[in-house]
Amino acid sequence: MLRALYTAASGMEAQQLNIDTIAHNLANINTSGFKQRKVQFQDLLYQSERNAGTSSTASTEYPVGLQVGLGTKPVATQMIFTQGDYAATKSPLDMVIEGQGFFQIVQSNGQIAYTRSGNFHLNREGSLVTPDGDLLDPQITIPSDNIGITIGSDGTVSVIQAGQTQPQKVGQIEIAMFQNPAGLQSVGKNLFLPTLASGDAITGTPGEEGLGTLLSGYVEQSNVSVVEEMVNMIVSQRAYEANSKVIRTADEMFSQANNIVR
Amino acid sequence: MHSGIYTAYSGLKAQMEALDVLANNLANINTAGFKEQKAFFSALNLALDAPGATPLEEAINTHAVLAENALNASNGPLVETQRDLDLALVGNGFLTIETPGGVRHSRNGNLVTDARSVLCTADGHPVLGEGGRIVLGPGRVEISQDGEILVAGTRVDRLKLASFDNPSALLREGNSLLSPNGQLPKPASGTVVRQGYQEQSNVNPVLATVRMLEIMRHFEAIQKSVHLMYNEMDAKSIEKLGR
Repeated sequence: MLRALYTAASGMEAQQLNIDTIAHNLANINTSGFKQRKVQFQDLLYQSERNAGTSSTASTEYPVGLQVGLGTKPVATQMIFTQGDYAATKSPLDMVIEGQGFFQIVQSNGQIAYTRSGNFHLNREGSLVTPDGDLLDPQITIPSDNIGITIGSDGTVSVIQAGQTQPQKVGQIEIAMFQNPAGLQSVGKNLFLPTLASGDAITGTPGEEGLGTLLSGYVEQSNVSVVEEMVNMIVSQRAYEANSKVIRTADEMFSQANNIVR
Repeated sequence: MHSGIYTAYSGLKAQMEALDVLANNLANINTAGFKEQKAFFSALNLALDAPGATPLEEAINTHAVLAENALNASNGPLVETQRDLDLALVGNGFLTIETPGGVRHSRNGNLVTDARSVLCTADGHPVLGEGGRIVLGPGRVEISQDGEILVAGTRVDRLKLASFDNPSALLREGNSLLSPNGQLPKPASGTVVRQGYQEQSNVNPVLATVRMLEIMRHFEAIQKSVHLMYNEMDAKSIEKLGR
């Protein structure tokens, strides 16, 4: 008989997870390449006390059944891969992917990870690295005597070396895409790892179908909308409140039941 | 022993079950495509079948029970998500889902693709089109209002949308799935598919809160009547008559 208590508790737990996710989105409002997360819910199992379609008499059936649901459960935290806004940085090594692609990063353990954050720097060997020092793959090394770096929309990296007038190609950036980017695993530091659900990376040069093109001199901002998160926060808080009221009501009813006999 | 105490007990039990149903509605306030359940009570007359029952016996043997919960099939509000694989159905249609247990239906249009690019629910059950499973290749997915699916401009399939004569009789299985429960799905006509939107649950929290107060007060009233019968009438008769 305590179904209502547990059902409402599942609702409160769901709203807590919702608020946790909203907090994570808002905390990452300035993280370049961050993608908004959204919790998706489903209803839990039902107890069928009477099924629709069973016989009420020899010749008639119940048109509607009696099923009591047992609450809600979170089923996924989904990433919303819409394009974020662009912010100009004037650094030629900052890049935005206009499309579905991801940059490939070699982590310190040798494993390839993927990122939407195109915020790159040079290390002391002149190679392009993330702010954490992980190399971009394929590795691109810029000669130190350059007077200007240009990255084309197709990923061609060229430099003008001191004493020369013609730009010289020093590397080609390749990006990757996934059949199901929502299935990627987030590992923090703006990085994603492929999973069975995301499928294997499909690599290519920027501009190939679906991958998207590069825009140098800009970074992609987080696609979190503060207004949307605020609205979600209000909805979530009110839903939490409504579920807590159910718990209070159930509690009062049980206390009255206990008071039948004094 | 008077039968009133059993009548009251059935009333208390029915109100508790009504609260259970309401708790499930409120717990699913953020579940996409969730449809509210409405509890209906009916009077169960235990004396009607008894031979030679008098009208008085029939009247005092009427018990309240929770008889059924109908589905409130009205559409929930749409919220824009800008996700290509979020679909909201406007109208009375249901998506057709393939599960290991057979074909199921759902209003939850929060869809994903798996590693083989098959369109499926968040739980990984394939969503069926008129030609079976829907395989989306690379490229932008566009879904028109009548359910035609285009990937990178090429038609792939059309969503198989089903409607039912009596949606209230669909069996709820949890996980946003409904089982047809013997009903034959018919092609849904007039259902509009909105891509990039999610249908929110159609539970109205204000009405649910009012309903909750009502349930609690009904429960309280019945509890008072039991209290009166048990503690006032019975106790007094025993104390005074035995003296």
